[in-house]
Amino acid sequence: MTLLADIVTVLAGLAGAGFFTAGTLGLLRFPDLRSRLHALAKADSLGLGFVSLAVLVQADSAGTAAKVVLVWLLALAAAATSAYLLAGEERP
Amino acid sequence: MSPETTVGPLQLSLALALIVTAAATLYSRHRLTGVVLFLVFGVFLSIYWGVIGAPDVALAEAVIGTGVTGALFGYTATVMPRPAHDRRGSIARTIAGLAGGAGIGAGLGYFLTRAAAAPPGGSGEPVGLTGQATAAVPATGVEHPITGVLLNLRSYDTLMEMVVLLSAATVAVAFAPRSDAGSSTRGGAPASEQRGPAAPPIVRGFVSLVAPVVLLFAAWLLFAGSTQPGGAFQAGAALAAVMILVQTSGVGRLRIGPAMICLLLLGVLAFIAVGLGGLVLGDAWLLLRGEHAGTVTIALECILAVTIGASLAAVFLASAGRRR
Repeated sequence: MTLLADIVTVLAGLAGAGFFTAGTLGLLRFPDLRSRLHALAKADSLGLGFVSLAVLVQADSAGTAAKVVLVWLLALAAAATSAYLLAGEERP
Repeated sequence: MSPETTVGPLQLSLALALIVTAAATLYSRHRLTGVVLFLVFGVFLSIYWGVIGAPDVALAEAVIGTGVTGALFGYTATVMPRPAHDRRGSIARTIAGLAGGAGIGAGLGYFLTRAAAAPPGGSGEPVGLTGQATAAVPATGVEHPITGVLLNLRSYDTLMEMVVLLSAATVAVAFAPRSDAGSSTRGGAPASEQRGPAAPPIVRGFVSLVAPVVLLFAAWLLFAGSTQPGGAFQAGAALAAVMILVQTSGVGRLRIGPAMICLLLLGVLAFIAVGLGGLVLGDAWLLLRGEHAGTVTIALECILAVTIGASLAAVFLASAGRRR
């Protein structure tokens, strides 16, 4: 059971790092504001989700696991809101 | 109780990131970029305090140093007009600043490490300030040493901090524009203008979602303070953050009225009442000992948290009421 959790942690952590790298690449390389926001808000939220999953399977109690999920959900809401606000800067 | 201060790759890279973000903050071309970099600097600083074993300072830095100050800076950078002449530092000023900062930092570091490690005047126990504080904590009635020190062992300092906060809030409220501070019959500005520009629905929805969570977090910080990191100052700052969010997003409308002024005064008055109680019932002014010390400390902390939250929010509301 511990081995299974460790395997999930390593795989999900790697996937999270991959998505974060892709998001950062997009932020640096995409041409305009909205494409960059798309890379940042989508890829990084998914990356954070994978990192949360990696931490989640190592949690020793249900309370800790719930806190990790809550952190991810709040970060999702914050990323969506801030991306919306930044995109609104460009609205005519 | 004595966290072994090790210097590893994590500490070194964090320290380097702090210096780089500090320089980037000071030398950024746009004001808003500077504010965002200041927030990044605050995040690094909070992590650093956590890593070197000072979670209380890390929490205070995150909510007060970065959160509330960042909100004020962000407001200034986006709404306030840019000053007419923007003074850029010359090379000589930069060098002088670097030398002065390094000197002050080295001096402070030297004396602080001396104070923390010095034996207390020749007695047998080889402990510094940390040891003395930890030894005295059981008498304060709370388990967490920092709360015990702040609200009991050095309560005179904390009382004066509350007075400083009250003075700051008083000055800010005194200079607030009249239409914001006075009653609604005065001024005559239409309600929509008084409310400020309404934020988009998605932002209001986000604030409605997040505000209860932050309130819960503030309450947790307050009650966690007696046994683990947290306490009145951190909880008060989280409370202020809720008020600032609610106000700036247009979800609610906070007014600096009589109720707010009462909240501002409450903390200092309650603190003085506790001090007088010590004088009348106990041995000395502000001395809090005995079996009820813990209960009184927690009650005082609740009141202080509300006053700290109100004061920080009042400073922001008074400044943000001023429009271009």
